[in-house]
Amino acid sequence: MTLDVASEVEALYFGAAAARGPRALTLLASRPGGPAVRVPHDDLLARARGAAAGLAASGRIRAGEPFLLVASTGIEEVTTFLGGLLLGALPAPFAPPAGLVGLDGWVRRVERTAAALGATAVVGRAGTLEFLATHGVDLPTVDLGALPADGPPRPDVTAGPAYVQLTSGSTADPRGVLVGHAHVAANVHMIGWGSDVRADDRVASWLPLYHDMGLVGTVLFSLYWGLDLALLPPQAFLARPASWLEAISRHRCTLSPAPAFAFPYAAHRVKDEEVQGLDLSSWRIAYCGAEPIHPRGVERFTRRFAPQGLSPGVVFPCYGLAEATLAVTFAPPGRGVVEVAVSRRRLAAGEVAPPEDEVDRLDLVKNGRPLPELEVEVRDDDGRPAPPGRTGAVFVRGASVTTGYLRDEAATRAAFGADGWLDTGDLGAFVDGELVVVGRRKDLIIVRGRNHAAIDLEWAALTVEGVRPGAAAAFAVPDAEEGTEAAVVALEVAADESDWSRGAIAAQVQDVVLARTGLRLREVLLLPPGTLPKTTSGKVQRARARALHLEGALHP
Amino acid sequence: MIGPPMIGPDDRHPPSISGRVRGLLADVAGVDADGVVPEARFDDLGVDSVTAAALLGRLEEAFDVTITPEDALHLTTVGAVVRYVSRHARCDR
Repeated sequence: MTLDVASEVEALYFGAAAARGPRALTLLASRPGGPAVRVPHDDLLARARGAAAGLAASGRIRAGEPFLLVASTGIEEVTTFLGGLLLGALPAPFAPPAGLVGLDGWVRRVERTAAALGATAVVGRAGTLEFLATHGVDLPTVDLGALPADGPPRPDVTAGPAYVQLTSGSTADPRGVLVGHAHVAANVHMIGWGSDVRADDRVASWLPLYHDMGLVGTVLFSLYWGLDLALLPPQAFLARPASWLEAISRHRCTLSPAPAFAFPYAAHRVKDEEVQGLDLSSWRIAYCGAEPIHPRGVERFTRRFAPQGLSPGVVFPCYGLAEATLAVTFAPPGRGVVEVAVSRRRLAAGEVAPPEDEVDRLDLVKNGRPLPELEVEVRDDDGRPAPPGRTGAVFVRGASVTTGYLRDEAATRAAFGADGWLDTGDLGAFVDGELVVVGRRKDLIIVRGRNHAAIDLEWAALTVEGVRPGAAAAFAVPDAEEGTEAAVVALEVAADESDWSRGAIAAQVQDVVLARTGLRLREVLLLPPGTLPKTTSGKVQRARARALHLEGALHP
Repeated sequence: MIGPPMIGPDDRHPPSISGRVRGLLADVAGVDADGVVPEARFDDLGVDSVTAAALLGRLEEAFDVTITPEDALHLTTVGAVVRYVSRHARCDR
């Protein structure tokens, strides 16, 4: 089957396959031994055209208007997303319900998000749509399982606005970044450039399709460059992290991204018998972004799998955000994680300097240099460029910086400057020409004029035995008496800890945080498992935890 | 304390399945499921969404069943999972 592209949009995502012969998208089974489904790119294009025809015929999906796409990891979800693009409609990939938990909250999020974006319909699988209907959701729906497998091309659709990327913000309000095809093209092109992409590169991913790293970094990237992609459902990785490494080994993958937590998660949970027969020597780049990198966690991973041929420099720190489509800075391929040991005390005063002693030491990571069509600035409190080695607000400008949030002018004005500069909301510094990210500015805890990054307190607290992995939130509360802020750390501990061991855990958290940061916590909250609010990707929502605490709703 | 009676293995189902589901719950989510009634909702047991996804994957593996996301929408209690696994694991064999 020859592949003829018929529109600007088709040329963008299927042009490489048309020129070089199609590669394929392979959906791996969620459990060992299950069947994999391989769809060559020409077939993918046919199905995407079919989806476009079916969406248009439903009368509920229209060019230029957003729709919610319940984006479980599946071939039909990918072709429906692409079908939306071919039609000129704006798919907004939406996290599917996790199953077992949080279903009421999920139903309400569907309603709130659809209303906020002005979505014309919810597109998903029949069972999911039925579930929404029985829970009183009164929105037009389209069953993506019933869309045709082929359809006519739409040569007149131009490469304008493409889709809506929902951000997993730290507040409850849904917000969608409107991303254009030109932004995607610029960003995936730069990702390829920064990765020294080769014709025989193969991509593997378990990242969800509603996540920007999963959508842009793997699906659209592999289509644009005409590369094979092996896609694994996220729950397969979470249940059995070896499935990720097996996919890379079996399909000889070279590029595979993951958020920072995935590396220690896999290092801990892959069983010895699962390591037998793994060959990870093909793996060139493990893009690692989306959350601060803990160098020790990455080290555990690379050391554990070195005997399987894993290159020590495979983990590739990068920095990016949905508002700039995805990637902003990249480290050089193959270098691995390079730490910058800094003084906590000097960092609190806005300066990157060597630590005075071990207790004062904080390990940050070099996130590389801006990609070629992007500029990055670190600005001081007066909005002037900060000198190297001083922390400040991170701003980005360039080809893949989007124009703002769909139907949210206030948020757009707050972050997107008229001069093209985007305020990322992050705090960072340039060190040796590379960006070092310290944390989110709004997550800073400012006590008596000194800045403490929330994650620094959390990492300290998480070293205490009895604290559930990843379940810590540090935030500031106003201290009226002192006229400053005080720090609170909320933690989850096992429900069956005795009062005695709870007291011991709280005291140890106090001690370790004090020793590391010089900060005395106002309060250590010990909560039952599952109490801390988290995003759909499992990150603790600090602002939400803070709000709940101030309302008195966060308690054992 | 007055409350629902603590029930061990659900007697409507083979104890082995109920016991194994509870074992996985303890292993993956750190929830001591021995004293949990079949009507207990995962939401009330302190299971978060990442743990829930891991638990679903482990259930699929342990019982050799495929739990579609649509099916998972109806599995909100420990008892519902035990019933689902009992029904589908048997069909698969």
